[in-house]
Parts: sequence; C-alpha cells; structure tokens
Amino acid sequence: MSDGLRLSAKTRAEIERLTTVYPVRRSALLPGLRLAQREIGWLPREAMDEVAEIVGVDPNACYALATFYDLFYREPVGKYVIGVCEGLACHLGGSGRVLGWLKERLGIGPGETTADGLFTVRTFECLAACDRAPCALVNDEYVGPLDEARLDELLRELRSHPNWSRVSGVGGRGSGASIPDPQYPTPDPRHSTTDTRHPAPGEGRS
Amino acid sequence: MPFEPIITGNVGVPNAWEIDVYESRGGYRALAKALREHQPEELVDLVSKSGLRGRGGAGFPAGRKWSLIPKGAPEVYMVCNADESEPGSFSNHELLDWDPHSLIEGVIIGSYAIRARVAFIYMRGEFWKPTGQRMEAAIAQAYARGYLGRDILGTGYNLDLHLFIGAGAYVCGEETALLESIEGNRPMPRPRPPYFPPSIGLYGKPTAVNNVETLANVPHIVLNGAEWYTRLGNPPRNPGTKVFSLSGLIKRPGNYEAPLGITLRELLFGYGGGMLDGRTFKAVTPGGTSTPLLTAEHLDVRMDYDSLPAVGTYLGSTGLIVMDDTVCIPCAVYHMSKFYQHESCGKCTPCREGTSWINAILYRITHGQGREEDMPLLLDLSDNMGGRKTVCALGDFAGFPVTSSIKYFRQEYEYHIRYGRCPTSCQPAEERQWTISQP
Ligand SMILES: Cc1cc2nc3c(=O)[nH]c(=O)nc-3n(C[C@H](O)[C@H](O)[C@H](O)COP(=O)(O)O)c2cc1C
Ligand code: FES
Repeated sequence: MSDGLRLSAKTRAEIERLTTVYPVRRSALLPGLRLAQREIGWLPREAMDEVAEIVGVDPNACYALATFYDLFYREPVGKYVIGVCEGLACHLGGSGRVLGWLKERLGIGPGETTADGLFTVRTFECLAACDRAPCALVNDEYVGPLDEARLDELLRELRSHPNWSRVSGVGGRGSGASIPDPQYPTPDPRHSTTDTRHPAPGEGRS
Repeated sequence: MPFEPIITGNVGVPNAWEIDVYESRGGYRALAKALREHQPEELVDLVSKSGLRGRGGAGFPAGRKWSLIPKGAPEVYMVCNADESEPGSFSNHELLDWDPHSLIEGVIIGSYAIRARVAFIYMRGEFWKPTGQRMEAAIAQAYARGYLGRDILGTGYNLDLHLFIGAGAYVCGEETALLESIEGNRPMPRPRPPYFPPSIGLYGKPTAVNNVETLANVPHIVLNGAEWYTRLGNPPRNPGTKVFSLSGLIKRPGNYEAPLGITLRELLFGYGGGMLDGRTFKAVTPGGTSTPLLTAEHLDVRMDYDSLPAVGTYLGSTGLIVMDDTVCIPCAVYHMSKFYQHESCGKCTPCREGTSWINAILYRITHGQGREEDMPLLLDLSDNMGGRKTVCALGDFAGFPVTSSIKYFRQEYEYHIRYGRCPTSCQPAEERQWTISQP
C-alpha cells in the first residue's frame, strides 16, 4: 500500500475468498498472484510473500510460479506493456518491422522501459490471433494488424488517455466492447466437494 | 461451399455472447434434453457412437475418454482445455470470444455424463479482454438462469464451474501440466503411464480433460443425434467438422469451419483465397508448428486424423501457417525453434537441452556460420528428443519442424551452410537484428 509493494485490504480479501472457492486452497495461488500483479503492476517479493501467507503455503511456492509464467513480472514495468507477437505468422507478417518502429519512436527494444516509465516493450510467442498479424498485446488489449500508421495512432492514444485499457476501442475482436466487471458468483462451498486434499500436492517440487 | 457450419454458427452474430441471444438461437435446449431425457451413461454412449474425436490434437475419441472415468467414483472433475497456445492456432480463441455459452453448455453436458460436480475451464492468461471477461460474465448468467449451481433445471444435478486463467506458458496446454497449474504447482507434465487423468487427474481424482471444440460439438450431437454426426465430414473414422486457422502468407487469413477430410488445396486456395499475388505455395504447418511441414506435393492430401499420419504429419490443432516462395525455410524453422526453447518446461533433459541446442545450431546456420556437420547434428538431436523419450510430447513437437524441413528443403540448408546467406531474400537486413536475436 504505502510503499507500493504490499497488497491492499481489498486484494487481500479477494485472495482470501479465492482460497475457499476452489476444492483445494492451494488452487488460489495462481489467481492470487494474478490479482497481486493486477494491483501492483508487477510482483515484488513482499507481495508474493503475502499471497503465500494468505494461501497458507511456503513463499517458495509463489516464487516457483512467478519464475515460470511469462506474464508475471518480477521487476517494475512501464504503465503500458507493448508485447509484440513474434510467433511465426506475425514474424512473416512483419513483427520485426513493428519492433523497429518502436525502437525508432520510443528508443527501446524488447525488455526495456522508457525513462518516463510509460512504456515497456517486450515480445510474446504466438498470441492466438495470427489472422491479425502482426499483432501485439498492449496490457490486456489485442491490437492488430499493425502497420506504421496504426502503431502511431496507438502510441498517441496511449499517451493521451490516462486509463487507456478501459476506454480503448482499438483492441479485441468485436472491437473491445466495454464489458462491466462481472460479478462472478461464489459457488456454494457446501456442494463443492470438500475433502479433496491431494495426497501431496506437488510437495517438494517448486 | 454449400455447407452449414455447426460450431461456428454463432460467430459474427451481434452479441452472441449474451445469454438471451444464445437462448434465442436455440441455446441450452440440448442441456435440458440431456439432463431430462438421458442418464449419464447414455450420453457417454451417444458421444461414443457419434465418433467425435478430441480436437485438442491427438484425436482421441471423446466418448471413450469419458467411459474411462470409473463408475461410482465419489469425486470426478471435468476440465476444459482452453489454453490454445499452439503457434498458428486461433480457432478456440474466436469461439470463446463469440460463443462462450455453447462451451458452457458442452461443459455442463460433459460433466453430467461423467457425473462431475465441479468443472473448470482453463484459459490461457493472455485471453482476458474480451475473452475472459465474456466467459466470466457468461458463467454468471448461466448461474443466474439455473444452468449452473444447485439442482440444475430442477433435475437434482449440481455443478459448479470455475474459470481458471493461466499466466502464459505453452506447456499448460498439455493436459497434466494444466492440472498441475490448477493445483498451484509449477506446471510440469506428469509421467504417464501408469495413471492417466481419467483415473488420477485433478487433485488426484478421475478427470476428463477436453478441448474447447470437442465440448462445443457435444450440444449439437445431443440435439441432432449420433447418427447425424456420423454422416458429416469424412466418416467413419473422421466424422464432423473442424475449425481450421489459416494464417501467414495467404490472401484471406482467418478461421474456417470445414468438414474433416477436406483437401489441403481446397482449404488454402478455396477458403483461404490462395497465395498472395505473384507468389507460389511452398510449405505449410498443417497443425501448428508442432507438426511436420507439408509442401506443394501434398496439396491433395485430406485433412483428418488418419490421412495426415499417412503422409508423415498430424492434424494437430489445425493451425495452418502458410509459407510461400519468398520464405527461407531454415530461417522460418530457426524462428520456430526459439519457441520450443522458450517453452520447454525443463523437466526432461532431452527436451530442455535439445531445444536449446537446436536453437543455437539453427542460429549459426542462419547467420553464415553453419558447419558441414550441422544437419546430421540437428537430425540426431531431434531423434534424441522425439519418440516418447520425454514425459510429454513437447520434445517430439520441437523436432518435427526440423526433421521435416530437412527432409523437404535440404538444399536450402546446404545453401546456407555453403554460402552463408539465405537462398531467398527472405528478410531485409534491418529487420534481422530484431527477429533473429542471439540465443
Ligand atoms: C505441449 C502440448 C501442448 C498442448 N496444448 C494444447 C492446447 O493448447 N489445447 C488443447 O486443447 N490441447 C493441447 N494439448 C493436448 C492436450 O494434452 C490434450 O490431449 C487435450 O486437451 C485433450 O482434449 P481432447 O481429447 O478434447 O482433444 C497439448 C499437448 C501438448 C503435449
Ligand atoms: S503468430 Fe502472432 S498471434 Fe500467432
């Protein structure tokens, strides 16, 4: 909260709730880390420790996931993460050019963040939108196919909207319909099967 | 193409993801029929008789998989594999975007058939806007209408459905790694045999893992009968349709639902509109990059689970990335090899080491530093990763583009090794610095 490395009471409560939703508590670990990153923007060690504590597992379990998955950031990233798809279809469609334009405009290449903290450029493997090659995932939004003009328009939009990912119509099949955050009902724990402890849920792996 | 799409019928319909629209188009009728008129075992039989085969890649008969779930097991899970990360495949993505309810309906019917009371949809982490949000909203709507939760449609059947979202890892599409991911472990595949998910799956309990498209077919089979389904596509062993994803250097990239058994030619030149002007067809990945390439000599092969193995490849997840005469094959394969090197989970030594070596060797070949011994070395490495030497098939997958491209395009590798440059002008130099980074 105060130091930007810890979770808010709201997020803690949400993770707490998740631990009762799944048949086994530990299943809340991955969604918990997603929530933590959604709040903080990346996964500082302090936040991972908190998630581990709420779920009731060793912190190593969190580090093991955070180092495995591609979408978890263990260092701060820019406000907008522009993830250019480098899958084969996008490569054939010119993802190299997209990275070149980004370098020209922002002065950064994959893995780097602009000095003002606004943009991070990274690459992705195939994003399952190959018909929109070359495409990119910008925070949560799909954009593509990208050409030079569209990329400039995107950068302009990102710079001018304080909360772009909520308002944009650029991304998404069916053109980023703005869906209100849905209320996902809490399944009734009574008829969710209960005594489901796996003999040894991955103990000793991490 | 006089052909009625089955599972993509709602794609393109305005607001198809809203439950009212879905219901107005006949949605959830199959669910009512399944729950009210059938015992679970009858549904397993029905799906077995239809001949529906798993669309996740291996083509395992869906009904048979369900029948492997032990009868009377107190706790059983249904898991839908919506991880879709195979390079070149984007058909599940579009179905999920437009038609989340048809998947939910399929999941509920499948769960009832195996008597599961908890089901999961495992979706890849990148699918959030709008895919994940729509699915979340759709699940909430289905609860509100009494299709999920307690006493579904007054039949006494209870089911909870969780949307579980990953965080970016190709291997999570592998069914046992997927289960590990849900359990909160590092997602590494489990060794099989002896136990497959239908006997020991999620949380150690019997579990059916099925692909999105597999389950999306189920409501249609319930409504129209097994008999109807066995007449579609390429019966008797390959009934039904498949959504083919066309991308790469082709005129009309996109998803096309077509009967199984359609020829590669009709798919690429009919549905896909053919090659870009002035170009000629060179190669295609028939089932994503994890399947051996096909070339112009294969244009008349039929796209189904049995015809493709006859020419040394697989239907996989039907992600067809098209390469034309401007593409340098070793460079394209180098590009694919980066993917496997990045996505190998590291559990099995042959795959962990082999994918890195293949990537490094292809780097030097495509960078003018290829050596005489490199081609035999690549084949040797692929051989050491493939043929069930690893816990999951990722090791095999990584070798397929390498071995098949050397088989069909050996002269391009030789050219690279001898002259130190591409046989075609595949890429301007200024782009190379980005697309071909040092491994
Ligand atoms: C490395 C690897 C990745 C896979 N990725 C997927 C995937 O993204 N989606 C999918 O449905 N199946 C995928 N599979 C296949 C699954 O393991 C499994 O066979 C499938 O989900 C079963 O569903 P089906 O019987 O309905 O085809 C993958 C397999 C491997 C070895
Ligand atoms: S290659 Fe970029 S989305 Fe598939």
